[in-house]
Amino acid sequence: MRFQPARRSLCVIIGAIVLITGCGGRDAARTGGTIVLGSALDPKTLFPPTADNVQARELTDLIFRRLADRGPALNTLGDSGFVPRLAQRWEWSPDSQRVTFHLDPAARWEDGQPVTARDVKFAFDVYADPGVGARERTSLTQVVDSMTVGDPLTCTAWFHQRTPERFDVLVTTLVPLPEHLLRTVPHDSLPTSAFSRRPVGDGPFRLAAWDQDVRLELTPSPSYDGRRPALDRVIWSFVPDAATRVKQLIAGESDFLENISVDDAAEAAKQPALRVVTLGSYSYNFILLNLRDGASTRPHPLFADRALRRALTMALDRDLLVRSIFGARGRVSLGPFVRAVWAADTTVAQLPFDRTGATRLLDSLGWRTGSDGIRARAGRKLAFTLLVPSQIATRTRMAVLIQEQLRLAGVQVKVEKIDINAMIDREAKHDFDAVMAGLTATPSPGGVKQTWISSASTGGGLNYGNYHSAAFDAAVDSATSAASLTAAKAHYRTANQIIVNDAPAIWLYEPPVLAGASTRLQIGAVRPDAWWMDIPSWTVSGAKASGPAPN
Amino acid sequence: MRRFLLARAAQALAVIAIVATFAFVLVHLAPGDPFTASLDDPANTAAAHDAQMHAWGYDQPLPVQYVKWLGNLARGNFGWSHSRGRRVAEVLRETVPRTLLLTGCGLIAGVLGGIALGTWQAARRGTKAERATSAVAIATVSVPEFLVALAALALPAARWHWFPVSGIVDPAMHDSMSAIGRAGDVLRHLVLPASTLALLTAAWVSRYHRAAMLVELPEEYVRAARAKGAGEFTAVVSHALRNALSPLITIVGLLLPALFGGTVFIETIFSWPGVGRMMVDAVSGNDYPLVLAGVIVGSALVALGSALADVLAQLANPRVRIGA
Repeated sequence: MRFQPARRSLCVIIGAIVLITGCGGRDAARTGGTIVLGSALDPKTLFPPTADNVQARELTDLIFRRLADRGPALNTLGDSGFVPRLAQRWEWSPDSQRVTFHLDPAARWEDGQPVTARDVKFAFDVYADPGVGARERTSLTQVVDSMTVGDPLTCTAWFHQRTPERFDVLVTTLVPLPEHLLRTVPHDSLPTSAFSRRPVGDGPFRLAAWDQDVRLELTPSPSYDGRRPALDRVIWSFVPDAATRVKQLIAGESDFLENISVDDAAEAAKQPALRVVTLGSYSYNFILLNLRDGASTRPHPLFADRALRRALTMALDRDLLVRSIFGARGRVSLGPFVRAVWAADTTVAQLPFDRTGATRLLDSLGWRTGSDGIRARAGRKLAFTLLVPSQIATRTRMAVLIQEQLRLAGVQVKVEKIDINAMIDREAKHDFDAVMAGLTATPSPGGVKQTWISSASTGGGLNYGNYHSAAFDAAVDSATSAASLTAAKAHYRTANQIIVNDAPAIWLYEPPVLAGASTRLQIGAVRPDAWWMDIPSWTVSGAKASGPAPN
Repeated sequence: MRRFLLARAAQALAVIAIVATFAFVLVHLAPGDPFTASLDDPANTAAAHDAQMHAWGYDQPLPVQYVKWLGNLARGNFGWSHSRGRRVAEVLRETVPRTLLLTGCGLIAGVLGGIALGTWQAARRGTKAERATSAVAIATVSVPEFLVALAALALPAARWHWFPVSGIVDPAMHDSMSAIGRAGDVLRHLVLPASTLALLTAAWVSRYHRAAMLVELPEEYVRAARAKGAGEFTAVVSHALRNALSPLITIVGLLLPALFGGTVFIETIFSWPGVGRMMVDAVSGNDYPLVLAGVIVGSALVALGSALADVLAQLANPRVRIGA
């Protein structure tokens, strides 16, 4: 059969339309492609219980699966909004003292063995063993008493008490481990076993290669029963120097780089092949004031005085400080409850910037300005040493600005740059006046129990400044035991207001967490508490379009 | 020669033992410990930190730890690297060859380039070109290593994209390359760091070698060679150069420690995964076993380089009798 030219053209056009609409009309997913992520460090280990640096957590979260995960709202109370992962469903006992998980029968370890309830119990026993040194052993065992196995796909967690966040603690801490591979290894040898470098997981990715200090490669796990990750390879490229990492990104040698500075973000934004992505921030930075005189039990000659602490906060223009360092991207800290946490309340009354009020307050406390412009009282100058970690440029830069602003109020600050390890060491020994500190909060606001309540100043807590407030402690206790979200929020708001009023620290800023990303990378929504959890859905432009990925 | 080598080996061992002992005391006296970072982690507790310290024996008195460490060392056990989660010996097996490759290439290229430049400068003494190259060499020696490295990164890598910015291989493509392709990939990544090291070495060597050549060139044996009809090139290269090399070999031996120190900056800036970068990580993380192993390897390489320089000096100049 011969086509007429006009008819032939028509067929070509129709064919093209059919092809185009055919490709686009289906539930197409782009699969394939390789991306390179710039990273400062190798993971220390890939053994989930002892994974304690960010890189280790990123990778273990992709190689292993938890029982369930927080939902988009990042709620941590009860089990509302939690999404099934390894567990298909769960049910509570009538007294809420235990929860039974029903595991996905299709779940397999990378070696093809089924994931069973025995793996969950085995993991719990490993986490609970002090010899393992699991990072979150204390928080897990304070909440969960034991784990029992019903049938191969059913296990039950027994709680000590009915705390509102017990489900969150359990499912976000415990990572099931393959018992069939690890049962013969003594628990205290597990962190140094071969498994810690060649893990066998049940998550969407598997470890394909790890060349220490050079690169680490993940590929989709063929045994994963969920949706296959769109990318064929995800490679971490380890570059310790921050400036070199940025150059690598700009040169197109990496596709994604987290934690870039505001200056580097501005540089990246100028590149046509790059864009800046804002990640969720759980960090907050502050000047921690030691309310005791060094490591002694005596009150600090300056900072034991609540009114003086409030005056110091009022003397600082924190908005200006944050804008000077971070431009429009930084935000003044509200206190220990960062904005990303559901308990944060932006309506808590903050101490305002009021230099006149601050000087008046200092005058009323008897601190008189001397001929050198520095205030003094009873022969003692209003002067203190501020420790600053020399490796963190934003803090050292801000310390200088703080020094100048406080000088205008008659306060002398001696900035002492110090190695960060030495600084942490001195914090832990309470051997400081003031320190430019930073903490990363958890999505659970109950984390303040580890950092700011009275009991955390001894016995292993992080309350290095010795802040003691019965009212604050009571409010936090009430919040962490509240049954409803509304009640918990109200108690946390009270706690936040108390600690802001008491000013045991000068709340400075929540740093912006920025990433540079190649424009060929399709990222979609970024989960605020763990951006890497969305990597399975990332795609690259130019990858081949295909139908729905096999389940 | 055999007695000399034995004596140098004994001397090297003594030096390494003293350096390692000093390092042992110093790293333990420095603030912090291998688990300090956990003290700033809200998910952790000081009790967990103390349990880790106890489990690894870091809560024992320093002399007890020292004796245990020596015992392990005698059995060839360097210990466990806390910052890398693996045996120190495994870490060294990977990092030492990479550093030797980098410093070896940098040293060979730098020394050869420095000798060539120094010889040429001595032969062209007083010319504008000689003065200009001398000024450049002095400027290069005066600039800190990391600035030279950053300059090398800024233009040929970051702006012109002639070479990769960092690392030792292409993270995405290396595994899919042929054997030749992989070797070429490593070489491509080696060019900038090795060139930086070579540039610094060449500038340093050229200054010394120029001076040595200026001593040799007016000597009678060089004039005699010229009088016999030898060309300028033959007189300079075949006659003067060999005698000028003797002092240079000793200087190159002394250059090794400086070169080893210089690789710390270069490996960090170019992300070359060698001993220098390992040491930076180990020191910042208070990874005691890894720091001590790095110190031992560093001092051993320096002692080896020094002994090698003595042997080469004898080979270059038979008048030197080092075993005597």
